[in-house]
Amino acid sequence: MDILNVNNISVKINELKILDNISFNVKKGEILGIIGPNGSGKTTLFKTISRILKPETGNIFLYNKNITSYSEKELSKLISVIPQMINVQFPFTVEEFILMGRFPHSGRYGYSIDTDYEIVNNVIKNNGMDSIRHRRINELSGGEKQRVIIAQGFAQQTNLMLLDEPTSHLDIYYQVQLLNLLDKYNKECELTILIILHDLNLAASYCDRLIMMKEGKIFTQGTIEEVLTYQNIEAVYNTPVIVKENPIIHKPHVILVTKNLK
Amino acid sequence: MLNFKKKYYFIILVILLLVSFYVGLLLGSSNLSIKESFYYLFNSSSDDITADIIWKIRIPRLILGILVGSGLAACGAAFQGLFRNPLAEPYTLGISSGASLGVSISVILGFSGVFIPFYAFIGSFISVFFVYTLASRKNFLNSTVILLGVIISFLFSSIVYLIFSLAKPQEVHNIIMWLMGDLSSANNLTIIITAILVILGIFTLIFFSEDLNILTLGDEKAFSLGVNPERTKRILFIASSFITGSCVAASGIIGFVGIIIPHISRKLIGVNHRYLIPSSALIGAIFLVLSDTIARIIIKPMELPVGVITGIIGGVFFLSLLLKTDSRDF
Repeated sequence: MDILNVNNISVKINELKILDNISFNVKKGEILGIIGPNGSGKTTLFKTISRILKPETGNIFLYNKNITSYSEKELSKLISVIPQMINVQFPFTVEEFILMGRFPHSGRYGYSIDTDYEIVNNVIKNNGMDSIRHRRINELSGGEKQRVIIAQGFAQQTNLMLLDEPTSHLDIYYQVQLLNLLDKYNKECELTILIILHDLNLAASYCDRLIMMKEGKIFTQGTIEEVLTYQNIEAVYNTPVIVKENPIIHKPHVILVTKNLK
Repeated sequence: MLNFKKKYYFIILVILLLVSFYVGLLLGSSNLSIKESFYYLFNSSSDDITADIIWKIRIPRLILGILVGSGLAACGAAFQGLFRNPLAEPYTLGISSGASLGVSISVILGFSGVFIPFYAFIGSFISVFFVYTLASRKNFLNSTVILLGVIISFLFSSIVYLIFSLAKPQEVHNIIMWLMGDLSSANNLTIIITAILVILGIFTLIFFSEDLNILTLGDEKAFSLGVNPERTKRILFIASSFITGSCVAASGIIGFVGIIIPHISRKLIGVNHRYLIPSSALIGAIFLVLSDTIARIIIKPMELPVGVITGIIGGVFFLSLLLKTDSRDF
């Protein structure tokens, strides 16, 4: 079953075409990765799906209903978005911050102790954040902060989560930990995930399918094996690579050819 | 969830406010004893000069102090959250200069008394409108907003000085007296109007405080949590402007309350606006009532304008804050 259908969308920003006739579907329960060079329109695509930007042409259906027909509140109960950069200037405590994820459900009239606090408690427990729950978010390390930001998305309890390069500033420990966490929620809570990743090998390890973008268009989409070929990667990134098989997980592994070999 | 610690915190603030109110009632050009105060408070029928001082001078003035102090502090907290800038407050956003301009024009035109607050209100609203429109065109970038406030301030005060240079000395004196910020001049009508606007405004800010929390995460994140950034900012801005406008109209320019009180409040209760706004309002009220009491007794039998006291305390506090920590911190 499809959760999301993106049909022929094109987006212009200041008369410049950023997205050109993009179509794809997101199946329930999958992890769909979006890869592509900088400036290929990945973030713009996310902003269009989360309705911050309006497509020039085309439409987007969420559960077979045009996203424009949802109210802001309804939409925020169905899609959570983890943007590339959140600059949390105000030193909220971790608990306060995660609780804000419940706003679409309760919000203005106050959070309920039975449901909202219970859900936040579970999220904190499941993510091993008990020791930091009363810490201020600006005191945390980059990796911990990113985990808390994603935990807020979990508390939002949506069916679909969009993540824009969640691992880009993290060391390998936090990269793997964070993606394992997403994988766990994907398996246990049937959370459908649409994720932009720069690291092709992480994308190969965690995603079920990939969309490869180039210059505002979908270059190709399909299974990991179909997308991550050296021909595709060299055409899109303009960089020579070797693709081997990861001996443990038996997925394609991309090796950069870094130096000028003569 | 209002846990025990927070509950006690607010109870203590309310008690402190009552105590400062009572201290403000006792002290003044002539001090009351505790016994006298009880006598006059509970025998409203008594009809002598002391009763008049209490009921017609001190109590209205204390009430106005509470309203203006809480209003300015709550707005400061809201503006700082809205613009994500720790220096934002009604006055750094250029609102006071708008009020000064309004008052200068009204004095020049020969209006007096009841009309001055009205013109102050209009003036501050115009400057708020300017800052808001310009800021929204710049996407509310936090540094530009303060810069805009400074520019508007300069522009408007230049016009005020232009008016000064053309006006009669007596008129200039009237304008300056008003500008200094004073809680004594308000009449009952002004107090009632101020009370309605400030109380409604603060409740609006509290009602939207969770939206404000989410807005501090940035527009994109706010949108994905179901908050419409544009609409919410507009609501908060209008509510804050009504509060500020009515405070300035009733009492002139009382600086720094909007900056220092939210900062103190954040240190005590944290940054969650659901608690920060009521907490700032209460501390602001306490601060202004006590400052006004100091202003009344420090050079007895004369009085200082309370704006002088808050300006000095606030300025020193603010400097030390700026030197001690990174000014971008909350």
